[in-house]
Amino acid sequence: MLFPTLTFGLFFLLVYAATWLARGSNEWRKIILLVASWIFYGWWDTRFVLLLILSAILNWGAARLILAADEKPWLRKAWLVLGVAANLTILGFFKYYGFFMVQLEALLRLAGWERDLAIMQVVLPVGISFFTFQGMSYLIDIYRRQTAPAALLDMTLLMSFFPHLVAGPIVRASHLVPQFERVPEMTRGMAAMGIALIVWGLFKKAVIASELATGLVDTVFFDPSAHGSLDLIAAAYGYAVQIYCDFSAYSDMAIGIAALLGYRFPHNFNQPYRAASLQDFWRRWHISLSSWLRDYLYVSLGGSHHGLRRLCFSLMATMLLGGLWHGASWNFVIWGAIHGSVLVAERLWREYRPKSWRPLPAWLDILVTFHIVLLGWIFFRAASFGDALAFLGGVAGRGAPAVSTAMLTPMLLALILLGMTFHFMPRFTIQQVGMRLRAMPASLVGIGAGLLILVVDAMRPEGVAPFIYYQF
Amino acid sequence: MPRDGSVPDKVIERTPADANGLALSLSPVDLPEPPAPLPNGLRWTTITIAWATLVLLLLNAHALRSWAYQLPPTDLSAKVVTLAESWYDNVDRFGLNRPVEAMHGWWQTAKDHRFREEQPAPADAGRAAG
Repeated sequence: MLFPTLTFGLFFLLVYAATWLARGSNEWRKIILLVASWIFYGWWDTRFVLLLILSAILNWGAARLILAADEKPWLRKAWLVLGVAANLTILGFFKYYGFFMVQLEALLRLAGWERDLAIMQVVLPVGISFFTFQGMSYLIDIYRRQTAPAALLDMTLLMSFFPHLVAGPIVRASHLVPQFERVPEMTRGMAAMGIALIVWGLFKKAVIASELATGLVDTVFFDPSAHGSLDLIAAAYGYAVQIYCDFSAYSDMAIGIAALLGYRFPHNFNQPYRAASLQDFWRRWHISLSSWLRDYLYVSLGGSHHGLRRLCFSLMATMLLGGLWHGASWNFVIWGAIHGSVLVAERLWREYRPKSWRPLPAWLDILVTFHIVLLGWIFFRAASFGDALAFLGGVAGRGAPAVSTAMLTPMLLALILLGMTFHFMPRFTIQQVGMRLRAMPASLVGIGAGLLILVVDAMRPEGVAPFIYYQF
Repeated sequence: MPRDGSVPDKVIERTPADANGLALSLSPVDLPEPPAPLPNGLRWTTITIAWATLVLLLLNAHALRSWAYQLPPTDLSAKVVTLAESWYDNVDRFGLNRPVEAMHGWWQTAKDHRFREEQPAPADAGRAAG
């Protein structure tokens, strides 16, 4: 069930009515949300609802065991390690089994062992990377005594809650479980922000991201060698805008939908392409994942507390694993390596830059950072390493047909520019809209929202492509 | 990504507010307190959603019809298709399908613009001349 569909719209109206009618009992309200979340998840594949439930029970149980071993530090650690290992096993099996078996087969062939390994086709459950990371963060927070233990119902709802279930934001227990402890109060401000974010997200996804995907990016990336350098450059910029509009739209809609049910989700994006360094980029892009990787991986690997060499290792390892988190492919590893090495270079530059050298102007920092990110996106989007190289070779004018702009239209160019413009709007534009909306009569806001959705619907291409981050 | 030993949420909480009282908070749905209380949040929200639904029901019947046709074929979905078709015809009688059709047409025209008008291929040109 995709957010920008009528099926989801009808589903949401039912859930909205049922949860607020049941506001007399917080427990019943949560049970309704839980069942609704399972229906939402089961819409893809009912078998994986069981996986979701088992995963929640596993993390809840492991947390109880950590708490019960309060007097024995070694036992607490053992339960933590077991719990995290169980989560990683689930993730590893569904997400990386096929990839590693193919690599193993290739390795054996190189060593002269011609063996056809029986490789099962494993179906990837939607959103598994998100819910296993949420489960692990809960266990680690319990171990570090940074969050209060959650009841089984709350833990299950935390991991299953449908607005963030399949593509984040990664909401931590310390943020959401306290909100589950009482019936939330709906304020006009929250509702206004929720509606504004949903409409805004719908526009970014259904118009900009979908149009760029169908009109330019998918075709060019499908066969980079068949396109001229200008089309390739346009597709690279187009993908940068598409992935931002697609993923940030999902986050906006998830935050908006949760707000209409009375819950507050954290920020996930903050105008990422105006970042003046890669470190700054990661404070602005997929904030819930980057802060997860920082708190649970980078810090665990040593972080900045054991000297510069260890810091550089931690940065690189975090980014490589962050790349692998996105999927079992060498291209994601290369994407992580690009980010990791530039983060390390930035850090070393800060450490060793001659004091007499003046820093670059901010606009140039932004431009350079954006183009490093753009280079990473080519590997992220290309189907294979060979395709990525063909793409880069084509941009440089090697092996590609004559320079042409067969794919790029004025509309697509306008959408690329529009997507970039969002990054230079005032920081709190949407909040200012929300502040105005909440003071207006409900009928006016409702008619306005309905008309805007109508405009978006008239502009969107036929059908709805899944969100890019669903595959992760 | 990793920031050296920093705690982002605390940094965010310390971000100074702008002239409207807006600051980076834990959630984008957090707004500063209004100057005067705005009561009945749930009622306001429900009325807003109801109006938006009504507008879409009246002006977006084609979406309802397309959705109905995409349902898996069952007895129930056949009834849904019939209802959606008759709803489409009813609102069409009042011209309510026209706005979205017009907007869709304008959008398509805008999308069809090219930087350069396409020249006919030589073979086509020869045929045309012949």
